[in-house]
Amino acid sequence: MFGTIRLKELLIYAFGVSLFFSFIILANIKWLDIGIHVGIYFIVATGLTILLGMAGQISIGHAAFFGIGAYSSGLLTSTWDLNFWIAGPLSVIFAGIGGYLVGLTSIRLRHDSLAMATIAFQVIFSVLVYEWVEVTGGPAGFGNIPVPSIGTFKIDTETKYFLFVSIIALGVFLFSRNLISRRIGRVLISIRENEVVSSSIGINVPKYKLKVFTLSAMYAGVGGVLFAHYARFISPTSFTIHFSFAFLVMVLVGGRRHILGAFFGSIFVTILPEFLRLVSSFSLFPVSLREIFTNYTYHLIIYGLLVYFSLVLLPKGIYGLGVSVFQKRL
Amino acid sequence: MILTNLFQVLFSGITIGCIYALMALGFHIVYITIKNVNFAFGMFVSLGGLIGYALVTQLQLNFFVALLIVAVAGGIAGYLFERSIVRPIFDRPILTFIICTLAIGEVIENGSSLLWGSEALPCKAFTNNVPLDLFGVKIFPQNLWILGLTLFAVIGAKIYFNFTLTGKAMRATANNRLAARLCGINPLRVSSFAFISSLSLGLFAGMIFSPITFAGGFVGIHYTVLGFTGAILGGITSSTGSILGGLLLGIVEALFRGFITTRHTEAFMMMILLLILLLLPQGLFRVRSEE
Repeated sequence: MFGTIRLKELLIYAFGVSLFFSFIILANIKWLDIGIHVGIYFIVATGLTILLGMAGQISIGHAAFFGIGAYSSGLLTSTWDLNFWIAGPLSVIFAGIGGYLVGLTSIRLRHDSLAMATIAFQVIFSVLVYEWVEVTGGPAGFGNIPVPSIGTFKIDTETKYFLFVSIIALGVFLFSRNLISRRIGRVLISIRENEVVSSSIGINVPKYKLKVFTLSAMYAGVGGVLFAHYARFISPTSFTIHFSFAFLVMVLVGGRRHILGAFFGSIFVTILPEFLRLVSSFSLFPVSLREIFTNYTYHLIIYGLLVYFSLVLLPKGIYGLGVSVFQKRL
Repeated sequence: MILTNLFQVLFSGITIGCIYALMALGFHIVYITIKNVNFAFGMFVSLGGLIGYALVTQLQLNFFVALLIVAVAGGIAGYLFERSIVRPIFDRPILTFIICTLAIGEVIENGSSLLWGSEALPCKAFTNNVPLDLFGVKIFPQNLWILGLTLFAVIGAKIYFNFTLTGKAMRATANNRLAARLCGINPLRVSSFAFISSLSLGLFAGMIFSPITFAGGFVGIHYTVLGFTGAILGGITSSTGSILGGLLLGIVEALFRGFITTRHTEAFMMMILLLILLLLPQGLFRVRSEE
């Protein structure tokens, strides 16, 4: 599972583990909440990294897969009274089916057309959720989603949920890391670099595109399930195209060529609003500037500009920057 | 009665179709010259409506002066957009281009919502909007204005592409990039002109459409998708094809609204896009490559 580990890597892992435990001990509820969101977004962004960074397929519809996971798990557990451990995996499979359907379009479409097709899927999902009021609750959403429990042990506090999300995120991370370093990872990279050449050396390109779309959607579904049972109330505003865009931001700003990029990206996107709010509390700045740092619209503008400049100036993202700085020092 | 109804629906379809046709033409111009789709285009269309609202409703300007200002503003926006946003990513992978234009689209949309608010704003019609009655078919003057101004813009674009030097240079680049370059046509200048004309058309379309829909209100991405759908339906490589595709798409939308249901139109249009992309990716009017 771990392969050969060098001393340097071991040190990094030890550092990560100690950081993790000190976070649990030191963090208050607000920071645990941020940690849970980072974990959930990390899972979704990892799926998108595999799709976008490895296989080179674009999706501007990941919030829809995220939403399929959240809505089906929420509905199955609250309306149909299913156990979380049955409803959760089922919802992930539903998200996978959605991914398979979008993957079918990716066989014939590339680039611009594929991006448009995924936007279309996202819009259809949003309309469905808004209009199918009897089931989804429409624009008002629905609540009373039960917390997950193992036997009689309920995962009901922030600390427990944070640990729960962290374990799943770690599992997802190890799974994806192994997946990428195996044959399928190399196949996906070859599809990214050149589809014609890949099929000429015997790779079944449509099969792998379907696989990677399904897998990526299932990751988003896992994130959605965790989100629904944490928030315990969901409404369509959490699954709009702006969230699809935010997932892209995580992958691209973090670094799309490595899974850890998704980690840094999700931390970045989750912490940025908090950071801006913190900056706004300094009385150093004039009031008009402080307003900029607390307004959500300004946050979206800052995201947009950050994505643009990070793609132009830092195509490898935060992770790539870190690696190049680290290598120069040593 | 049914016939009157049909004509009424067809008329409103052609009106919507005119807007889709202008947007499709905007996509076509950029696509043939730099082989990319500008995902921020819809946000610019919606910006056109908002600038029109500011000039006409807030500043009380004459409609036609305002229309001229909007078209010129579109040209300036196109020049700035090409120079500052597109040129640094000119030779990057298509994926980068898609995400960068989308990101800038978000910036434009949120920026305009800071100025005009996030709610859609009602706009005044160009002239007195009392419907004329033509054999039972109600015809709103605003729809006639849209038809006339679209015709004007399309003819203007055709003249520009067929009879001016820059237009000819753009068509030459579209046909064969390398050969055009050998003849001394600067591809960067061509891309600059492509964005100027494309966004000028986009803002123009946004303004003449704003009295029928509303101005603004976070619909940019929908405009992007709908304009692209029109262009793909007709064949994005052909200008006549894009225009006809846009018109056809408008008629399809109006038929759906008129005879099936007025709800879920958005989802229906997205289904249409998926169907077109899967079954007819080359469009109805394909242009043979002349290489």
